[in-house]
Amino acid sequence: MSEVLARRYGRLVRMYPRAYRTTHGDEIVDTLMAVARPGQRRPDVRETVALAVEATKLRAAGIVSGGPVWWLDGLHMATFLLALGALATAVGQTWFQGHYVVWPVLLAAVVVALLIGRPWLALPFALVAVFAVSRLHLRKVWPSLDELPPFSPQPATRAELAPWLTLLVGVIALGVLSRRGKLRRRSWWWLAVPVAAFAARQASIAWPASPGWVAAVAIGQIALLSLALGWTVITRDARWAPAAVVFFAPDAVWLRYNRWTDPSPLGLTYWGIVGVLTLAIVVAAAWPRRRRRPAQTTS
Amino acid sequence: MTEQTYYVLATLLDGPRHGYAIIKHALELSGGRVKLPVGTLYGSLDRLADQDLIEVDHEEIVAGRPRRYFRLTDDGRQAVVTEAARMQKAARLVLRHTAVRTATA
Repeated sequence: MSEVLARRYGRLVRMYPRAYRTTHGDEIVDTLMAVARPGQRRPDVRETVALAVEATKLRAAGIVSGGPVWWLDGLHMATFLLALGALATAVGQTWFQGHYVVWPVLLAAVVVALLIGRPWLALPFALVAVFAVSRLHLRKVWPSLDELPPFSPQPATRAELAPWLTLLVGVIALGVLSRRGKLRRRSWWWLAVPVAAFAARQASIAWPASPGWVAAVAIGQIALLSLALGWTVITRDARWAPAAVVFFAPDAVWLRYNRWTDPSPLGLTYWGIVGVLTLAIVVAAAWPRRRRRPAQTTS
Repeated sequence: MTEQTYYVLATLLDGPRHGYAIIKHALELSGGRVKLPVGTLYGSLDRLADQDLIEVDHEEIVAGRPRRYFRLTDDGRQAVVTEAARMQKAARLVLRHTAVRTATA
C-alpha cells in the first residue's frame, strides 16, 4: 500500500464536511486504496472528480438544510449582491470626501443589515439611498430639493435608477416575505469585495470606470456565475437561479434603454456570456432532479 | 432507478457487502461496464440508506480503519426486483417483435 497515495487521498477527503469526514473519511480512503492500481502514486482523476462532486453535494445539503425557502434565499442573495456592488463602487471612488462620505457609510449600513439577514433594518438606509440617487428626477416635481446638498452619485437617466429601485423593491420584498422565517446570515468574507475595491483605489491600481476596474468586475461576475452554474448542476440547489436573474435584471433594463449604443465586440461578448450563464443556471435549476436511465443487463 | 443504483442494489442480493466488494461485484455483474467511483458509491449508499432501501448490517475494523457492511432492506429487495421485472417486460416487447420478424424472414 502506497503511503504517499493514501496521504494524497486523505487530503482530497478533506473536501467533505468535517462531521462526515470524521465518521467515514478513513473508510473512503481505505476503499480508494483498495481500488488503486499496483504502484499508483497519484489520485485517479475520475475518483478525484467523484469525491469533489459528492463533497459538494454534502456541503450543499448542510448549507440548505434549515435555511429559508430557495427562492427567498435567492432573492436575498441578489439584493445583497446589488448592495455589495454599490458599496464596492462607492469606496472605490476618490471623490467621496467631506459630506459625501455619508454615501459609502449609508451603503455599508444596507450591506451589513442584509448580510445579517435583517431587511427591515436595511430599509431606511435603502430608502435614503434611492431618494438620494433619484434627486435629479424628483426635483422636477419637488423643486425645493435643490436646497439640499447632494451626497450621492446623480444618475442622469431613469434607466440608471434600475439597480437602485431593484435594491429597494428587493429589500421590501425580503422584509415582507421573511416574516415567518429568518433569512440566512451571509458570510462576512463578502466584505472582502469592498475592502479590495478600497485597496485598489488607495494603491491607484483601479477605480470605477477605469479599464482595470471594468475588467475586474466583468471577470468577477463571470467567475461567480460559472461557480454558481457548477454548484447548481452538481447540487440541484436552485437558489442561484432567482439570484442571477434578479441581479442582472437592472442591467437588462439599462441595455434596453440604451438600445445597445455601445455594441463593442468586448461588450457583446460579456453580455453574451452573462446571458448564456444565467440561462444555463435557470435551466440547470429547473432540470428534473434525477434523470431516469434504465439499467442494462448483460447477457 | 438509475443504472448505478440498480447494480448497487443487485450486488447486495446475495448478502451484506462492504464498499470495495460492492464496486468489484457491480463490475462483474455488468461485464466490466459499471465501474463505480468510490465517492459516487458512498454518496449513493448514503442516499439509499436515507430511502430505507439498504441499511448497515455490521461494522468491522480492518487495519485500524472502519468498514461498514451494507444489506438490502425488504423495501430495497422489492425495489430491485420490481425494476428487474420492469426491464424484463420491456425487453420481452422488443425481443418478441424481433423473433416474429426473424421467423417470417
